[in-house]
Amino acid sequence: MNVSGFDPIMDGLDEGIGSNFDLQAQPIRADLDNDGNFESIVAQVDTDGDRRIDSWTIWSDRDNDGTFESIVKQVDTDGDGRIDHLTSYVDRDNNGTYETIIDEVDIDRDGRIDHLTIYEDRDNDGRFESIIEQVDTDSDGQSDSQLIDPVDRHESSTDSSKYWHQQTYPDTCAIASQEFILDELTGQDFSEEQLRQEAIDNGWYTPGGGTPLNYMGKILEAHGIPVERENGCTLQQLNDKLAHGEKVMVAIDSDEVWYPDKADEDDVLANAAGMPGQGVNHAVQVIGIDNSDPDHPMVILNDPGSPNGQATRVPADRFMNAWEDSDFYMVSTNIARQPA
Amino acid sequence: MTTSQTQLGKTEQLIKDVRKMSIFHQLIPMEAGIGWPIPLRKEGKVYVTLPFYGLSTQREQGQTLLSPPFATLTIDWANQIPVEYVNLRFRNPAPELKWEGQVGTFPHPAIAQVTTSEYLKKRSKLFAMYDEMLVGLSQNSSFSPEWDRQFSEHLRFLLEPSLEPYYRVLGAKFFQKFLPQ
Repeated sequence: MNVSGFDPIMDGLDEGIGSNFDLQAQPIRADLDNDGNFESIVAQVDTDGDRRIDSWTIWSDRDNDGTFESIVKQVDTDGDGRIDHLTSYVDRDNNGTYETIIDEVDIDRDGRIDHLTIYEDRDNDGRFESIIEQVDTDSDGQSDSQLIDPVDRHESSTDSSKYWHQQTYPDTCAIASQEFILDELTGQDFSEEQLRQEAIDNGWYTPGGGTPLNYMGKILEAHGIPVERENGCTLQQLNDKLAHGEKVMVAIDSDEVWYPDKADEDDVLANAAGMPGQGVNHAVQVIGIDNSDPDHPMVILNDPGSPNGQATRVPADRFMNAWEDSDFYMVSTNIARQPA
Repeated sequence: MTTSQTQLGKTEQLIKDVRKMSIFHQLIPMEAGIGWPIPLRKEGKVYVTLPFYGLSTQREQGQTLLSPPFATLTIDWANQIPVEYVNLRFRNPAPELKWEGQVGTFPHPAIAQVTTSEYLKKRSKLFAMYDEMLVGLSQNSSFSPEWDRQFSEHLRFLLEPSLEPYYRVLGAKFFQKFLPQ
């Protein structure tokens, strides 16, 4: 994985440690770029008490304007004398807010960074519009997975999830899922009751029945949000939609998501869930896909049908089984949320 | 999708395939339960009417709620083409019945202690008997009293009692024959 952007910092520190100061517990001033100005403050800590410094925090004011443009924290977590976890906070526009956070970890302690995450809050609104995650799973020095999330994983877990609530009626999952999206995209607070009535009036929802697949998204369209309806979608397509900031709903067999351990066909019906043999029965919003563990990707749902459905995480394989029952039906908005 | 991928009989396959029909996507809520087929012979041709009823799993309570049928779809048995859709809220066949709200739960007591696999086997068996019946109807052949008795027994066991009044309205002759009151 290329972490060259941060190697100079590590290199600079190594040089600084060797030439400009001795290891000590008290913060010191340092000239890490060797330009003659002592622009940095370095705090060194022996966190595990082995009389060896294993954590460094460096505040740097390179332009000598009195504010620190970067804070870098480096940690030798296993005491082998090598830094294996580095976190950088960067104020690129010098406005006093650290809009970029870079987290680097050498997981297998081979001296190479193999997990890099970059968080960006470009508009300084306190929320990350982008998270880029790169993982070098085979330690060959090349990133072999990348997740780019403008509104996908991170915003999903933090922002989109806050629009969740449990559906009020047994069959209003599609209405509640549209409400989450509508609230987020418009900034207005719609009620499920109001949207349910609107759906009844327009024939998009049958009380005591639910919502036909083709009418998923009708409420959004009625409120000026264009949608696209597709069958046969893949997880990659879903991920791409999220990566572009679009909002996504899918139809699934909820029993396969809610009761994976009740899939035991030797269980009696009284202890089982749903009606066997029926298939797809539920609409949910997909708010993110977490690939941080490439062997166990997780799909993050705003599931209105479950009391714990807010940003609930479902293993991707289980999600795919549940989604397959609708022939991988997906409704996505053709627009993303505008930055605040 | 946990059900086995074995070859399904024609009726059981139809129950699965109806969810993929464009008319289903257009008019039938995805949450709908698909009811037991009601055979119909008209002018020498054989059809099945599928009722669609409210079916919702309540995660908190671990319950599955049943609501009355709200629509039917009649399909030409030979070519599987839909020939009639009826919105039961628009064309209410029995105003004296309750057509909205919860009317029962699944499973009913007779099947509550049956395992899921056993239920699916019995369901497949009943669908297979439907296949025999529909083939027989199209060939104008009749069935033995023993066959009728077995069909009745299976249907009685599996049919949800809370939905029975609605089935009797939607397929009076069929249910009077096989589930006589």
